[in-house]
Amino acid sequence: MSNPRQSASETTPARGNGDKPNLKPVNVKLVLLGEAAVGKSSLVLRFVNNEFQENKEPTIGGAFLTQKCRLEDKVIKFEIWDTAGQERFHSLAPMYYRNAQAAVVVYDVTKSASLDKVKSWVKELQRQANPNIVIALAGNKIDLVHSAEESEEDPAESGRESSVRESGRQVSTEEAKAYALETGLLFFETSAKNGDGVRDIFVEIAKKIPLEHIISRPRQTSNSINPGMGGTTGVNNGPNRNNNPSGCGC
Amino acid sequence: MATFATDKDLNAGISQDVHLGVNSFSAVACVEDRDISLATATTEIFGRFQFLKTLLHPNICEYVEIVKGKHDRLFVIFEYHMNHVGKLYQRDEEAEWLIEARSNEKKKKEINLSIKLISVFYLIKQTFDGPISILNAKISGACLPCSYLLNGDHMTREWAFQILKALAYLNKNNITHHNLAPSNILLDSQGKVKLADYGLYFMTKGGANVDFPIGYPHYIPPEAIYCSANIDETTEEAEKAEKAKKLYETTEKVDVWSLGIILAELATGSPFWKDNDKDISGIFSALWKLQSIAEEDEKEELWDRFEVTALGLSDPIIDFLQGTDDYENADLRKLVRTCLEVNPSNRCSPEQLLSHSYFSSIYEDGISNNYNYWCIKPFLQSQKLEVDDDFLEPLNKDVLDGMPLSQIYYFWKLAGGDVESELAKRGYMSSTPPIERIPRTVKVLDGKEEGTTKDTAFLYSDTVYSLSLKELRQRLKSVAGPNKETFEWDTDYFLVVDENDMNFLVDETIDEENSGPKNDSLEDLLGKYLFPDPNNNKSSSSSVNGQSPPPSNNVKSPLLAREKDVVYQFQRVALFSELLRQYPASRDEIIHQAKVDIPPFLRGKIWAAILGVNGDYQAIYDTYDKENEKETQTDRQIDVDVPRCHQYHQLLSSPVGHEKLRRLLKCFVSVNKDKLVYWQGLDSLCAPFLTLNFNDEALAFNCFHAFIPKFMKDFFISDNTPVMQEYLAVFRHLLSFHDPELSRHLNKIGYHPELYAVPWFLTLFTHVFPLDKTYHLWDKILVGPPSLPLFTGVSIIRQFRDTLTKTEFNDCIMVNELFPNVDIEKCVQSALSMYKVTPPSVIYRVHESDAKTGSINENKKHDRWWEQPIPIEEKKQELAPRISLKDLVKLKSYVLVIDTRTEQEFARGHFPLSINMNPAHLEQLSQALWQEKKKYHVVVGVRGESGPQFASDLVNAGFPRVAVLNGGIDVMRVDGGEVVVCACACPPIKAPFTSGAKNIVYWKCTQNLMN
Repeated sequence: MSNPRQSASETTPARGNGDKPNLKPVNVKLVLLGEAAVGKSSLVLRFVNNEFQENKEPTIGGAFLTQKCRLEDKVIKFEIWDTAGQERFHSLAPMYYRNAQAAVVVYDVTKSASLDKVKSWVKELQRQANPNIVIALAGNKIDLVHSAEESEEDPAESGRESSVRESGRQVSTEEAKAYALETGLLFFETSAKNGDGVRDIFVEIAKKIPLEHIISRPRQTSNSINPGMGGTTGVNNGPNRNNNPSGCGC
Repeated sequence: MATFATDKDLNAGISQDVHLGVNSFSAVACVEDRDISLATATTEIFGRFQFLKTLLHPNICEYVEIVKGKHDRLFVIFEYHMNHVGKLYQRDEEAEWLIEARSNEKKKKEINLSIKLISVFYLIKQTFDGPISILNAKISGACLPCSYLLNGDHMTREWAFQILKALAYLNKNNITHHNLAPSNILLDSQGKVKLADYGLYFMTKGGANVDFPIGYPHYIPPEAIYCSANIDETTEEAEKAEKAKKLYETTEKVDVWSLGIILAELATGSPFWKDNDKDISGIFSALWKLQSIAEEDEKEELWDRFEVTALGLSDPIIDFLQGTDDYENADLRKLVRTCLEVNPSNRCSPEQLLSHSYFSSIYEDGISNNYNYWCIKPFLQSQKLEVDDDFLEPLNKDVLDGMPLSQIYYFWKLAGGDVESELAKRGYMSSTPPIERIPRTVKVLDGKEEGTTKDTAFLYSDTVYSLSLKELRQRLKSVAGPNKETFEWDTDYFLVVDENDMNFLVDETIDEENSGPKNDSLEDLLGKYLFPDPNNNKSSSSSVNGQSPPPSNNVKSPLLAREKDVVYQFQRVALFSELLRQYPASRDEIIHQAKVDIPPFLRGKIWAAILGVNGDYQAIYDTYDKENEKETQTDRQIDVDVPRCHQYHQLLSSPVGHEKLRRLLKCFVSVNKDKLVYWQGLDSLCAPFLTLNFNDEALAFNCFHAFIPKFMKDFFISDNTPVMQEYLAVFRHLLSFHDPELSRHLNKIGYHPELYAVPWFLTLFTHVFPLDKTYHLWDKILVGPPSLPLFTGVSIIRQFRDTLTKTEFNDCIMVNELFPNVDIEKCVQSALSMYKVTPPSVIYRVHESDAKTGSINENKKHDRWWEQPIPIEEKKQELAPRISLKDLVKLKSYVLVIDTRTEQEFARGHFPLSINMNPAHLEQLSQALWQEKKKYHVVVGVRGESGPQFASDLVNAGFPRVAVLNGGIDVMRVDGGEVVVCACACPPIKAPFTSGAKNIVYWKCTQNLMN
């Protein structure tokens, strides 16, 4: 029962009190992965608080945020796990992506190496994560590309990298798009700085997630956070999970 | 010699008269090409300024601090003296008649000399602010009699020499003045030259960060004009201009030209340029012409030519330069002409000029070496020694005398001083709304703006405001006087938290005092072992050796109030300065005192002392490889992390700060090669050390280097998973041990330490707290045991207990957002309280630092089954920690030992006073267990049995301080070596307990063999 009128404008994130009382949110666990300093935390911050912070501090280990997002007759509550980008923290990653229903893998359009990292994350997710996981590919920092075309200056990067090529785009839209198509990922180019495309990622993920699947799932699918914790019960995603009234949405 | 005494500390006695001056300017609103980056011009200036603080020379004014005010206005605080060379030809009212006389062309030559003399005398009168009798007294006893006064030449020579020495010193530190003018050649009370404003060009990156030009038009050299001129004719010209520009920006010879002009003015008493104040463009074109005249014929002496007379130089100057006056001193003329060499490449440097023949007499006299013209003969070598005046005459002495200026400024601020409001009070900061400042007319042709309303709040002014220290002197009078010697910190009252004592034993001794039925709640118990809380020092302090508590009442106030109390800080700084001077011998005492609190002013050095940084750390640091050429993955990671590290901080966000942090991290990586690697988070961890020792990278590094093995051993090996997992497991044990209810709840909702505590421990909280909170936390962690961070983690999470126990996972995890509310002082106190009641074996870690406080296995061979390390997976599953037999024995009557073996086994032998029960009956028997009212609960089982599981059940049932005896009953069967435990073999008493319909039985031993 897909709605032809469905558009991004209807699926604005709903903050707390904006919820209709009869809509119990559906929890969706989402994880962000990608190389260091590509803007994972900034994307989340833009989505959750609609803010941008220059020189956002690096994430150590992981960070957790939630944001609700209204989609037609449902409210989806994203439980967002933001991860550390440095390769060394890799051993923590399974703990975050285990049982995630969605993943956003982020690269930096001005750094070609960051796309390689994305590819290895996608492989790992496809191998080890939830088989139904919805993966979105996000090429962040397109604002830098624009500004580079206009002024040939690259302000934010100048302090960060010595490379001369930094000022321009290093990953073309076509290349990334082709990869996304081939691998079956959603694809976006974004700017956490000015907000371009950020909301679209989450909205499209929300649409693509087989919600009825989650809703009808028994409790055992709830996020067992820590693979190493042994007999622990894992994350309880709330009592509403099993009896969400919103039913089938798509 | 004092390891942490900088040159500045050692030379603190040099400045005798204390004046702090402040002047102010604004950076450009935004630097071009950087409009988005936070590293605005202001931050750049801020970062560059820091280096200036390290400069020290007898002939320069010390830079003390830079402060950012409203509208990013910067205030520079520096050593200030009321008099300057410019006063010689200052046209104020008192000197009015001089100008009149000077304007009288006819009498010019006759009065020239007298002008000089009178000016000099006038100056000296000003210099010695005091009554004239002092001046006379000084003169009569001086080795250079009154004739000195009459001999302006001598003074000029002294000044010139001192200026050159100062310039040479600055050059050696890669600084050029670029702003030299009579008004910033200050003179101290001894008539000694003190250069000021020498850092403006440096800190503004050659003026690039500010909108105003640097350099006084009357004193700038020709190349300054040449390079700023817009040349677009030929490439050759442009190239030349480029070259000149480079020369101008980098060369130290700019200042030599300025000095030449100043000296000429001093010699003649006349301004160098005619129409001194009016025609600046005239000066510029004259300089321009000068350049071309010089280029015409390089052989002929420039100043002898006729053309120079037409450049607008004032007549006395021309006469002086060309030697047509009756001025006797040919050497000075020669010097000035050397200085005024148009081509900067041929001009001498300050260093070279010091050996000019003009100064030969100075070397002969040897006077300049001690800069003391007024010394009384005979002069004894011993007089050169600096005597601590406070020691000799404790009364009637200026409190601030001999104190480093930065310290004076620090106290001045504590006493309520604030540069911005100070200047505002004097009407300096009046600002006009921006709309009012828009220029009404702009002439496009020459880019001149007219009709602009100038706003003093945004302009540069070289006006210097002197800060009044009256208030501060008054505040400090009471403490610096005779009290000072009687001031004695009671050093024993923190004995309970001494490094060697702060352990389980302390708990025991104190528990003995109030033995008997323990009804006091956990909170009560915690209250007794508060960390060096100055609030309850009285009882314990006097009890130890009868010394009186510190005289100041301020010790009683909370830490933040103490840090703002100028009197208290004055005492603390005095105490620690003295201790630091005696370091490393005084290290124990420093640690001891640091447990009370650490004065923020000396924090960097005190931390270094606590960490035991010693020896020539600079030399050690210099040998390290900081810039490896090879670009590695690690380097790239450091490069992206550094500009994101604590960027709210002024110093860390400046380019200089980035550079330093990067260097420190790279150095860390190269020093620890093959052992430790760079993990994200190390940047945060390094930040406190860098910010506290911004001008002493070597010290920062050595602190960092000493800190990590002590508190974070193996955290940064390339695969730290086992280390971190164990750390987090112990953290979880601790939480269960001290707050079973909270632990159970968090466990139930799946809020595991792995999810939230990694950044806590991996950065020792620097990543979760802003730096100012980190300082306070680390103040305590540094003097505490290596496991204190674990306890801190527990006490942090317990501060949010109420929130956490009520919420589900999603809200729980947001607890990090509550972090700004953490009360550090409270947190550390409760951490220490917990530490003291925690048996060392409970927090034992395999990966612990070597300096451990206790371990299960002592030094024995690991040959028994319970001496093997517990597999990490097992450790992570268990909620309750293991306790060693040694610790269990110490718990004595405060522990309830629960034996889970069968009745038969129990009857054959058991731990004295233990009870025996079937683990399955916990639910029914918990009431009975509670009735035992014991603080500790230790489970004793047999190998491979469900002891740990039963302990977890106890935790879940809410029993506090549950642990499992490591090794179970087996440890008591063998000869325990030094641990003497008699297993009791008494016939146990059956203790029936009725619960519902069932009658459940447990056994109890009543025979106490322990005592």
